[in-house]
Amino acid sequence: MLSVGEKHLKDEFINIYDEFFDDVYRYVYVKTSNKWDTEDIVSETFRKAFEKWDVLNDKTGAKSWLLAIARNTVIDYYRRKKHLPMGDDVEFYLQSQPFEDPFEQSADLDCLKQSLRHLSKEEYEITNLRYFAGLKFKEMAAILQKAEDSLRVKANRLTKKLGKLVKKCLGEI
Amino acid sequence: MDPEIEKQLRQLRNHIYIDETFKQSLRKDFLKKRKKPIWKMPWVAVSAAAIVFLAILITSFQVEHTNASSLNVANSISFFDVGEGEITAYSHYQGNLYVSIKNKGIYLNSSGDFEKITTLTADSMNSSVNEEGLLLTNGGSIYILHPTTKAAEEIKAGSYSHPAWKDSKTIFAEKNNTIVEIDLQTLKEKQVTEGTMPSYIKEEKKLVFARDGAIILRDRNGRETKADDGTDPAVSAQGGYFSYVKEEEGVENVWIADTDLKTRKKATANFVNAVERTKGIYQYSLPVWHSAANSLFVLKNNGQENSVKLMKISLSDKELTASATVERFLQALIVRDDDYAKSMMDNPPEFLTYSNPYQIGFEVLNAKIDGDLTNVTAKVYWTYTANPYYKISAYEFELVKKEHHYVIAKVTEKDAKELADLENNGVIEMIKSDQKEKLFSIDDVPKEWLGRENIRISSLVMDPDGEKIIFSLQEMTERPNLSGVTFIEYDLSAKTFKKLIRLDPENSRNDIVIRHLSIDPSGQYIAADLFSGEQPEVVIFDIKQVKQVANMHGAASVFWQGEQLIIEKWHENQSTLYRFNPQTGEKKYF
Repeated sequence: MLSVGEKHLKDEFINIYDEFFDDVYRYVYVKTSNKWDTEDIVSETFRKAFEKWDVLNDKTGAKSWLLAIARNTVIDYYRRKKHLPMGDDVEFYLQSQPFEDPFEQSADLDCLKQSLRHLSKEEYEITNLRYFAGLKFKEMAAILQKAEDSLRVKANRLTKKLGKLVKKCLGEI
Repeated sequence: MDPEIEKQLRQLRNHIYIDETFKQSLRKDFLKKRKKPIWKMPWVAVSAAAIVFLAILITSFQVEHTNASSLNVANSISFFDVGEGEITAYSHYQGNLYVSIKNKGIYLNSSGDFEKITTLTADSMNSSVNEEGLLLTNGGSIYILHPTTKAAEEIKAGSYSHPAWKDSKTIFAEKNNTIVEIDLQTLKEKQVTEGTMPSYIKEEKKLVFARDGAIILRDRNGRETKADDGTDPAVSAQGGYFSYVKEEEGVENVWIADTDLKTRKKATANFVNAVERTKGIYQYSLPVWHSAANSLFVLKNNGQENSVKLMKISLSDKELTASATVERFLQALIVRDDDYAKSMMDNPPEFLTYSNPYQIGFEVLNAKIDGDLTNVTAKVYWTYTANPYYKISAYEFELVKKEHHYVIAKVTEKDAKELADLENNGVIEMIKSDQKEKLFSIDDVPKEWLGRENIRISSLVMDPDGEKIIFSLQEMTERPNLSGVTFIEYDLSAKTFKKLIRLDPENSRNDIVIRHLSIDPSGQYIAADLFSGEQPEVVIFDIKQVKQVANMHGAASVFWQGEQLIIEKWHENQSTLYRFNPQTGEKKYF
């Protein structure tokens, strides 16, 4: 039998698992563009989180904490693959992978997907955290260790950049 | 912020499919928190025994599916050399290989023959199992090739490619980068999705196809999942696996994956090209599954002119032993499958295969376990084109057990014995540990067997017991159609000669030139490779009964694999490998 304290912690963990699994999964999938790697990384992310859950003091920051673990796990995962370059290049490799939209889609979305490839490493990461993992700017600031306002400005610029790229792709400009 | 873009980004987010099965399965893992090791609980032991019993009971009534990641490569061999021809499409159907060659037609490779069955060529063929026939396209039209009548029937004209059976009344096909479903009775078609190269998994009612450099699975509800990056998807005959070609950093490899996407595994071991660092040694294309076995065929090209070969990759859930690993390694060296050879080595060298001298046989003698290493001893036999040269090398292979397979960590030549005419003066010497011993010379051969003045000792072999040498006397005449070859046995202890057989020049066999000799491990059969006129030829003799047992025209021997001789047979510009058993006369194709 679990103690009352243990049961409480486990219930809490299952709650955050249910609440944030999809965000973690999508964030990792956008990074890897690959179902198998995604599942390996997501498993490892939640396993690490499970082990450290009882020492996380501020449970209200659970989402950004989980995404930070996922982010580091992705980098470690690809560093372990010997054929990949080390250091910043790992990030470049990851951000350069266009993810596959598994559904039929409109020309707008297709162009948007193609336009994502033209974002810088930092812009791509901001897009992933903000729009695919669904983080708030405050949570992103904690993960990326950047000022919240600076991220807002960058997100503003990158959506405008994407808007132009999409129009170009659609032949409107 | 651009609100429209933000809206679209959120739409795109919702299009990333979450695998709910995986989500729930992982969730369960976190629910199972235990206070003490589970096996210490008495009820668990009883339940476990019951589960094991039930598992045995259930699996004994089920066809077992081995995960793709648990399949091992039992063998890989390039058995079909495309030569100057170009394979436009191929398929394995009802146990036979169908190959379409550009501007020639479709050929059937079965039970020893490479038979042209139609002058129609195929731009694409399907590989799914269906009794209705083999689907193919030519110039955009879809045909059914009936295997019994060998007639090709046009069923729909258009701009189609890569047709695949859905059921006996419906097919899928690619049309302008879109997959369409065609009702064969009404010939009406409907668009399914964007993509190319469809393959259908009947059991799971899933479509596998390629789209924008990715492999996609689409279920019966139209839900699509990206499996991996890749091209050229193909579903296995039983539907449990699919294969595809994936490029990583310019290096292509063939991968196999479970159709339920549980696991995947690389089936080839391509290496970075040392000269052009941006690509692999080989390029692979069009993997196709065997119609019955867990084997794959794939076209392999090393980038040089006329170098396309069809390789067969046999998969098994069993692990290769250390001895079998060495056998496969030596086979791969001889047929020049450098990718397969290198996959079995810890630190493979840049180049593995050479033109001369070259290996013509091997024999794995024993395997001994020594701590973490397994030592395998093998003899390798070498020859040199049209020269009196033969070498028997004893090698020790040190193998290390890795996950589910052995890897050759070190190879040491322990012993070598060479027979050669070192001074090119007709004197055959044996060289062992730098010691030379004169055995015999052409002057010792009884004069009545020499016949002509212009004659030399050519290819030779030593029998496995090391007691006899079988050598050839090559006649060289400037007059046409008069050069023959005589085979003679020399007894090393008695120092006597015995004439075995003479191959006379004749109308069908002009100016015979011996290319090499090889001997089977029992010492009963020798294979003589000849050039006579333009045709290569292999003649096999039983040297104990002193008689010819087989003669293959348009063929060359490659190596002895135990008591079977691997033969390469030419069919115009192409060639195929097969195994020949001289005792039974049986031919077995790859």
